[in-house]
Amino acid sequence: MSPADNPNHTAGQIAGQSEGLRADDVVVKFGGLTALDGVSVHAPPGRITGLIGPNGAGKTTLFNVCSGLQVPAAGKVTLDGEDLARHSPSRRAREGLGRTFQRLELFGTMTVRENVEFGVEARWLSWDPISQLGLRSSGRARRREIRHAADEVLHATGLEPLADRVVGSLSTGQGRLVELARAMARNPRILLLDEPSSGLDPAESRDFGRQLRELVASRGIGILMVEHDMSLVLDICDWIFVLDFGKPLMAGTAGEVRNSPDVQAAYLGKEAA
Amino acid sequence: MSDYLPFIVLGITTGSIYALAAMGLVVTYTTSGVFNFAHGAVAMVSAYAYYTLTVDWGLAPELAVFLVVLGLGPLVGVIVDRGLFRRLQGAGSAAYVVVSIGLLVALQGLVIIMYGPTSKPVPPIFPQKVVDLGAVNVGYDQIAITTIAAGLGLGLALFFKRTQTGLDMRAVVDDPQLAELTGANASRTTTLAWMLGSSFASLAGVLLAPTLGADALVLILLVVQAFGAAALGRLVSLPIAYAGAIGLGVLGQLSIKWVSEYASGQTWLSGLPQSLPFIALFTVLIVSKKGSFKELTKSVQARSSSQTLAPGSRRFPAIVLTVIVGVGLVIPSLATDSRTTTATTAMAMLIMFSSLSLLLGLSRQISLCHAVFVALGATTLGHLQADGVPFLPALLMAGLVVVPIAGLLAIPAIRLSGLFLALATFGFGVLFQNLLYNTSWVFGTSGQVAVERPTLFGNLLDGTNEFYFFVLAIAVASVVTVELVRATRLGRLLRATADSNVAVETLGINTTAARTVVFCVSGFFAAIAGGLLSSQVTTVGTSSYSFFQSLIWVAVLVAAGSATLGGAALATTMLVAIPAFFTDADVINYQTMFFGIGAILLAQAPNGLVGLVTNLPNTRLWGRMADDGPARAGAHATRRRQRLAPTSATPTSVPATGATR
Repeated sequence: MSPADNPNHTAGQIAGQSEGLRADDVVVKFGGLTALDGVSVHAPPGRITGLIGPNGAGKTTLFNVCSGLQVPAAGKVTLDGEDLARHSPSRRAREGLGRTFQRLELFGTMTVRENVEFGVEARWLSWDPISQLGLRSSGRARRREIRHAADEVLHATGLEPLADRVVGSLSTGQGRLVELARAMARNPRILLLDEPSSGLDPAESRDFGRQLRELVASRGIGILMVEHDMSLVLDICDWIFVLDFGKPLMAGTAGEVRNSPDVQAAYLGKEAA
Repeated sequence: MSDYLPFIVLGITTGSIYALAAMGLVVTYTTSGVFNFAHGAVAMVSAYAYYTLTVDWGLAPELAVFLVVLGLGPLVGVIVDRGLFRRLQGAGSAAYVVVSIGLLVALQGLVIIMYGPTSKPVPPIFPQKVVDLGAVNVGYDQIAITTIAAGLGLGLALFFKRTQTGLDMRAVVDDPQLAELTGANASRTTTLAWMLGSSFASLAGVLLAPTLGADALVLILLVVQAFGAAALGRLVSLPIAYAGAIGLGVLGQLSIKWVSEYASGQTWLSGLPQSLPFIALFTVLIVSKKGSFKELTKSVQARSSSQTLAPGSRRFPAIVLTVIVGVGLVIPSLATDSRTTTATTAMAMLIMFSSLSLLLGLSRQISLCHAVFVALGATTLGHLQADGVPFLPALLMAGLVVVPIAGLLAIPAIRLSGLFLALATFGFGVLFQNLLYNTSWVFGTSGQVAVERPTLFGNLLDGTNEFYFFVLAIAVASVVTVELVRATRLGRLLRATADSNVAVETLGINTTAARTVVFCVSGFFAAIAGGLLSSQVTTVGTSSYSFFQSLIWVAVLVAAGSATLGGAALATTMLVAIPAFFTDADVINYQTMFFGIGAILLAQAPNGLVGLVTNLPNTRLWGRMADDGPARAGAHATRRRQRLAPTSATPTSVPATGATR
């Protein structure tokens, strides 16, 4: 049985609408190197799921597989039961999958507000090219709605004071918040966060964790989070998957992970190297 | 069979020279992640250095080869690496492409200033003897070149497999920081790779020189044929680059024979032999599976604030437009006829630069084939007029003809990111010029198409002023359209795509449509510009729009500022107006060189010279002069914020993150 199937810790129902994101037995090879070897994760709505592992464990690669930026050699990714294999990254996003990036992918020439509004506007996109090109006119009411929704997200993420700053001039930590805000603005059902707290100091990191909890509680979204800050992960994650060199090492609650000798060995081994 | 042998021998020889150039390219690319468009220029400079050493200084050819290949080649490599590319670290791939294009343009200009435009004969390197192998005579030089290339190829392969430095080189590109951890000195290794790659280019140049002479454009064009061979090996495989070069060399020579024997009537096929490498380049790039070409150019860290564009540059440039129209309206009453003629050219070129800036500045897609769009617009207009279509419909149709061509180029090409899009458009440009320029639906065999002046309300606009105002009107309409694209949501989408394509995709927007549309719009206006330019002089010829023009335009626009209308206007002024005031022929060559240097220096500036000038009030120097408090470099953001919220205090009062709420 793959760890993702552990029935005791699945917050949502197993099948149907609220199953969330599920990746099963994903294999990715780069030339001769196997970056992911049969990894499975499950991120249901209403839960913060952690994905941890030493550097090079394949965490970001798994994110790329989920969001469609990396084609896996084997394995399956589903969102609420629907197979995403043939869906482009943009279609996956329209189906409700949002993400942030370890190396920031911001619209650096735009202001914070514009970044967030871009995310809000993306809610109304459909597959058709006219709407994709932004050529469909939007009425005054829509524009007010966009502005209002952006205000809400800016408020929720605490970015209001920075709203009119050009993103390129922000610090990395602030940039991460903007990415989070932009992804939130899109109203995703499942949100993938790639090292969201790096660049934050411990106090900010705690605040950030609290914000994430609030978001999950208030909106019922599911979060899958790659994170190096172990105290943050153990603090806020309901369920944690551990990878080591592309292989699943274990999965469990914070307590189980903390006490696992395998996990300690993997991390200590890395530090010793 | 024996008929073919001499061609095969010749093919292997030329292929060997391309192989040297291609392997040099692969070495620098795989180690430093920089694809050097100026690789051919390094070869060209080496050929001229060989000329100077042998002809001017009277050195023995062997000694000259030694000095050039082992002295000048590596030296150029070090300068290019340390002086040009190293300081770009962290920039996007577009900046790297622009710098190497700038270097190519600058070196070409420099060489023509120093040696003049005509080809210089150089003494042979190897004894002029042949070996009679029965069926075919093989020259000493051919044997030597083939042996050298094969030997060096083998040597390189062993170097990468067996030596520590070679292994370091392969590690460095994957992850410089990780490589450093394992003891490799990433910086030194990269420089070494540049020295090695550059020496290979030098050797190729020197070996080509005795048969072709030292000739600025011919040598560049020949060495860039190595791009095709390198592309076959996905720019990373040495053995495939070598084999590909030999194969393309042989195929090229054989095709010369075939074309002369079986298809001498087909004019378009005459360009086939020299086009083969570009067919290879273009085809490999566009048919490869997505992701099989990996861009090695890495931005090391997030872009810094100094590279962000002033927010004002995103609004509709009403002021700049008013100035252009105002100046445009008074020119004819102030200027002489010849100046007004220059102004007409300038207005048409403004359309061209404006269209190019949609790609370069807005969506940061580099098109190196804009000359093709311009040429097609011009010739199509001429052909349609010859068929009796009136001017304005013909001009519109000329623009529309280019739209599907730009689209067809864009659709496969834009899945390729920065560098590879630039390479594909470059290959397309050269290919189109070689194969299709002399067909009847472009320039025809005469290389010349007549274009008439427009007739409005029954009057032929043959007067200087009438035609000027006609062009001015179309220029204003075109520029307004381009600026509308920039100021609308499509423009914002494209800007977002330029900032981060992957972010746009993961927000649910398929960017292919937007990037194709902007390519088509850009091609359309380039064709309109071409129609007007040719109508001005009532003729258009092949030589006006060679592939090299596209490169110069890119260099000029980047130097002037590719992100705003002001930049396009400045580019036009620099390219068209300045030479009109200086009659000396050298001015053009100096101009070319300075454009190249300008592109190199300003590749990373957000909006070229215009950006520097408009940003002046925000710089530290200016702030001190104006005693204007703590103004600092890159303070667009602050300025805008203060304008929007005058009561808000200094930047320090803004919380470090929003987490403190």
